[in-house]
Amino acid sequence: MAANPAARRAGILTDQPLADARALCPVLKTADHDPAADQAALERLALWCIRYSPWVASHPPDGLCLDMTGGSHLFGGEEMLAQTLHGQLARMGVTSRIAIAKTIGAARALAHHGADPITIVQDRDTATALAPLPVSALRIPAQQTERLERVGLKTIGALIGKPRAPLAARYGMTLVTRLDQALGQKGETLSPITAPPDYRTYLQFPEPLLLLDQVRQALVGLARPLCRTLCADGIGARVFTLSLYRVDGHVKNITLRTSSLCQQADHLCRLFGEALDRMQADYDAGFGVEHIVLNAFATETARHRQPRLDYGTPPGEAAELGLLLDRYGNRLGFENIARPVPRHSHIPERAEQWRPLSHDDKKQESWRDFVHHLQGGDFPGRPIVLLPRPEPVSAIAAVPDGPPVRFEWRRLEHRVQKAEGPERIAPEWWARPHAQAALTRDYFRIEDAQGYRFWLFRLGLYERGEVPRWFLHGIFA
Amino acid sequence: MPADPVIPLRAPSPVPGDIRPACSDGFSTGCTALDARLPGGRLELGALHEIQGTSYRDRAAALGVMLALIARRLHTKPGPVIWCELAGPDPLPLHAPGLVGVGIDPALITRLKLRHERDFLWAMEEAFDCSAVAIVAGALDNERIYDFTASRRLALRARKSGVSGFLLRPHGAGGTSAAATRWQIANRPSQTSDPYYAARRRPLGLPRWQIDISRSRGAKPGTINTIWNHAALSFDLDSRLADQPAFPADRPAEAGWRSAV
Repeated sequence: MAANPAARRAGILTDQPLADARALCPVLKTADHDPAADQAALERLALWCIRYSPWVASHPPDGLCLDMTGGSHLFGGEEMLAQTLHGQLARMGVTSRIAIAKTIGAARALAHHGADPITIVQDRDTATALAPLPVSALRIPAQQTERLERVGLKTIGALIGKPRAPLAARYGMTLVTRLDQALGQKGETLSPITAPPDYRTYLQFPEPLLLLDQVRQALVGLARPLCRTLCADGIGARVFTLSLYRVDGHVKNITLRTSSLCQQADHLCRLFGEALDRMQADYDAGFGVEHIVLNAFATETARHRQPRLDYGTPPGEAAELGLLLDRYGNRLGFENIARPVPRHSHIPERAEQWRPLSHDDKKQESWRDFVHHLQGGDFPGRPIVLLPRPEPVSAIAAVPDGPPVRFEWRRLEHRVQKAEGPERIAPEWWARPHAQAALTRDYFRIEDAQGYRFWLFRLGLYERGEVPRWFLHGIFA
Repeated sequence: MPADPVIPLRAPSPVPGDIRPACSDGFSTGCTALDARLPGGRLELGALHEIQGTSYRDRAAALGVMLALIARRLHTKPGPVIWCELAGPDPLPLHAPGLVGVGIDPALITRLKLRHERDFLWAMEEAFDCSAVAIVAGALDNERIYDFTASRRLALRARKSGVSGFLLRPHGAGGTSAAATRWQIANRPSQTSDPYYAARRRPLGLPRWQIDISRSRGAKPGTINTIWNHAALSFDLDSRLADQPAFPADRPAEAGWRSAV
């Protein structure tokens, strides 16, 4: 499949029988081809390359494509960037061939078939640079290459001048498309392996950081400029990712969410500090961290809030509460933090919704009005505890439609002393009928001989010929 | 002339780890007999209060007392409530419409669902640290690691920030604790002769609880029968049966039961 430079110097070719290769070079070392591991290694390398550009795509089996538009000056120009990248990869034991060109196709062709390990081609020279390359550099199927070579079209230069229509007619659209893409006459998109961030800052260290405390300090230096930029642009972000690049090419990502748009560096530092604390136990710094990137995603225009004039929560306190909830969310999961919101339904389990903490909540309707409407008055008509699902009880009622006289719940018998009801809750006609919500419920507030109060309901009506069953749904204080 | 260096040394320095409330602020429960059993004649802010049912079945009543106290506190100063709930096999999930009946606006409540007791205690501690929070409440279904040290950590933080904390503990849980008060709640049958219900012709009366303040720093513990009046947001003394045995004779005595003092 592949041979390293030393092997090639000894005369080893790819696709050569192993016995022949061994005859040429008795000390040859061989390893089985493992496409899955190659793929994984390429992905890891692609992640590592994100430090140079947020737009990185992997081109299996052995290519990586970076969109460096407008970014090479950060690394001292294209020449310097290519040199650095080549040097870094060599240090990691990866032999690389690098080309920088106008289009994905051209850069790929030059990297694979160019004369030098590093090729940089200016936009206007694209066609000239591509001309001497073989047609196989165009990413076309092997049998097409063969057909082209048979008629003498051996280099890309031979194709460039030819009229497109006969080429397309004879060799198919793929060839023409690839040729146009390489020359920049047709667009080609790059799908990045990770979503590119909206904002990012990074820090590079001459000496790798070995301790998380050092990372924590570096974080302050990253969060401040990022938040300054966010503030200046009037933008807030909800998702932040901290990427730690180890010297040996591993990347550790830490992602954080905030419940409201965030622009505060202190807030970020505190949240990331806690995340680092949690990571402390099982973090392996390897040979150290040499590059740290802080990305901001999910950005939105942050409206300047006018402080409320009435008695509402003061802005400082709201921010403090927001920080507390963000810290909860990032440690415990945002889905575990919820606030109740009324939902317009008379079915008790549907009347409330514990909505996970998310964006800045809209003004919601008053619970007092909602409950007044729900039960038709201001009295404690709803239990303080609603069981996750109604529990079946065996009950005996004196009259078919009346409250039970006694019932057994969780193996304890309760004698009913006082009862209020029924409160009839019919299923919603528009809801799809399913097993339990499809029958009418008659709710009773019950007090037993010891004063314990429960919310029981009878499912089904006698007059409709249904066989009613009793359930316990809630507990009163 | 430089200030005398001795004078600041003579001033009583705060003892580290002192869990007496820093602010002598508090609120009344609305029932004089109940207030008399509390340290300083009121329910302290910036302190931890433990509430537990007398038996397993009384835990809903204990939850009711806790909610009633929260309602009373929120009435004087509305603010966010952090409600910590430990996931267990037999949870007591809050029903928001029911809270309105007790007198709490459910929109103030932020509920945290926690899987481990360690996280539960961490979340409560952090909430105590945040002065924007009005009340920290926790329902501890089954406790394994909550002990004196844990309660002391909570109490110290509460004292520092002035945030009130209520912790619902399982029945029968004992041991020493740094909480300012411990309430043991037993349910009692309601009286239909309550004026509130008589006027509305409702069969069920106002909830009646027997509150046994079994621990109260600096005050005499005791047992009081109370009625929670959700309309007035106040505890009323149940005068008819005050200081009588808690239950009819047919009720068996249960484990963990403390007789009236």
